[in-house]
Amino acid sequence: MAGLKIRMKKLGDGAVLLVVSGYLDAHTFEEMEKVMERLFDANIYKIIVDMSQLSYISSAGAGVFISKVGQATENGGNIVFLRPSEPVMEVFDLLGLTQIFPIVYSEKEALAQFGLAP
Amino acid sequence: MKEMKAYLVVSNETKNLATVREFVLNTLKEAGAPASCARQVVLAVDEAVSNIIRHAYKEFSSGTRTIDITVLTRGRCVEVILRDSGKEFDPATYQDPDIKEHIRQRKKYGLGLFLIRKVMDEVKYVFKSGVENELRMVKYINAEEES
Repeated sequence: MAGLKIRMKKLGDGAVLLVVSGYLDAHTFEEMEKVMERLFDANIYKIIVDMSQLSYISSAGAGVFISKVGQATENGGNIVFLRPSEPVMEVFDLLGLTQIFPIVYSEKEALAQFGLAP
Repeated sequence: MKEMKAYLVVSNETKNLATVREFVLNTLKEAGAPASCARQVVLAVDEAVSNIIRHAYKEFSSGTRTIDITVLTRGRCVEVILRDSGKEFDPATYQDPDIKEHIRQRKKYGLGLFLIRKVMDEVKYVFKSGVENELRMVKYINAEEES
């Protein structure tokens, strides 16, 4: 069974698209955390996370975004969730994250969150 | 649902969480549990096993202790029993988290039991000091879900 895969695409103007697939649990969350930290080290704070291929997330996975979003917003960015899959959306709802993180359904909408055009 | 009893033992390694989720999901599928109920029980078990590995077995090296998982289904009831021999946990010390406060404090842990309590109808810890910790979680399927 595949663990977590993260593909990165630079979108210009300091924004990055992360396409995550597989599962984000207490075993794989540190990989996600490292990727986020590397982006912050490179002064990239506008982060779009495509979750359409993420089959599962637990509190450990959600915890990565909860603990990192403050640093992103303080530096003029944010973490935007793009097309979360149904099981992922269910967990976000349970945690109340749908009220806190922008959730969008197209790359265009995601870029608009940062005032950027596609 | 079909009456079933399934049992799995795993060691205290997070790499086993995928196996645990698959075991619970397959058991509940076979029993005929509704998909939404199965997903929520899988989440609760994953969170509980993650907590056992991270907290109860904190003092032990990875792969040196075991966690017993029993899944029982009968009628409209799904029951999961988890047993470990690590440090006991007092649920009275736990308060439901404030997510906004988590964000302010950049906290990444402490949301597992909150999720467990949200998705399960009964959550009960029983401790036999130095022998065994037992967590019993029950979920009842409502009539609309069953149809």
